[in-house]
Amino acid sequence: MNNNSRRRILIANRLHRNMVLIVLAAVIVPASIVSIALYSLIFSITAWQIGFPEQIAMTLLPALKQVNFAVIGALPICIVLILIWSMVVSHRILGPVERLSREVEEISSGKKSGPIRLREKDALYELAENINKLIK
Amino acid sequence: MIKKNNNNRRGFFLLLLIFFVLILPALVFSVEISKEFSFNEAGSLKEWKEKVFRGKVLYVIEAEGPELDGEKILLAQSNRTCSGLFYEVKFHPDNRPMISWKWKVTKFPKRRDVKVTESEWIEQDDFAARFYVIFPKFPFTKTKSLEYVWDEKLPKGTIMRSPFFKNIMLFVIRSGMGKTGEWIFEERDVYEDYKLAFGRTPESSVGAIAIMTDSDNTLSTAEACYDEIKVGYEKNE
Repeated sequence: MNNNSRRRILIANRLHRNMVLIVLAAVIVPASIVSIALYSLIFSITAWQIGFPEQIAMTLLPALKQVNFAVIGALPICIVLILIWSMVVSHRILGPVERLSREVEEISSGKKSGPIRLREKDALYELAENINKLIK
Repeated sequence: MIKKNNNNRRGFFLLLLIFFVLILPALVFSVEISKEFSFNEAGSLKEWKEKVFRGKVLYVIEAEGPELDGEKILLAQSNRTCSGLFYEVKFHPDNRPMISWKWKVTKFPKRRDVKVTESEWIEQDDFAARFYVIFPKFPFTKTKSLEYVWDEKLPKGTIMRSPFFKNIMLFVIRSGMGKTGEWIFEERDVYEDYKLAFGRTPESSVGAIAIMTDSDNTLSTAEACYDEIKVGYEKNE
């Protein structure tokens, strides 16, 4: 396996998928709850402040439609951005994990003897260095 | 034994706290009241919130002429303006469905004849006198309103969906200029009117009433008086 393997989008299949889902849920669920609550609250309070039904229909309903259009337009873009971000975050964590696991397995099976190489900024870099000291 | 007593005391205080924080406010806010407005004092309008949309309508408490022995009433004068008075109230029409008021129109806005289905209606949406009963619901798009109007053109008994929004139903309960300058007493059963208007019983309590005299769309003038508003009482009370 060469160094290009780190560039794969999905690394450890199920683990990576789960992590992406966790990150997605951790961002989307609270954001949705807060947004929906704020959205409903702001419009309801404004409607109550306006009071008169015709005026609500003339002013607030068009505003609501505009906001809905904007949300519908922006939502897919936001979801794609969050998905990309969750892939990047999970990749940063799981990439080194997968590589460390693979290299330890290769060393233990005798396929490889050299040190495990991780980037200095990688998560688990210190663990890899300690394993290297151990197998020297 | 002492520990048990402390636990009991803690439990008691916890219950007391729950009562004051959660139950008491709920009880206070759930109390339904009937309310009367006689506009007898100069400060009677303090309870009402004025909502201004296109210039202020003059809402003032004034003494009436000899026919009411100088009694004070609410006078509304609109000169190409649109604003209304709004009062938050709470009663469920299941138990206390009745509302009543007196009104008198002295000047109608100059409306052209328009078909109710036309968008032109919106441009002519001025009434000398209207009385709203609002049933708020969350989200606000589910809020329903009954709007009782005195119209100089539409026949009495007309019930129509407002061209503005499907949840506003207009009841023409007084028609024509024949009784211009006369006090008219109105009494409505909002429970029955709601059923008639929306084909089902009210899903929520009445949350507000409102009155409006306006002439901003027709660029004319309108004048009406309101008095003895009573809301949220039982039939035959």
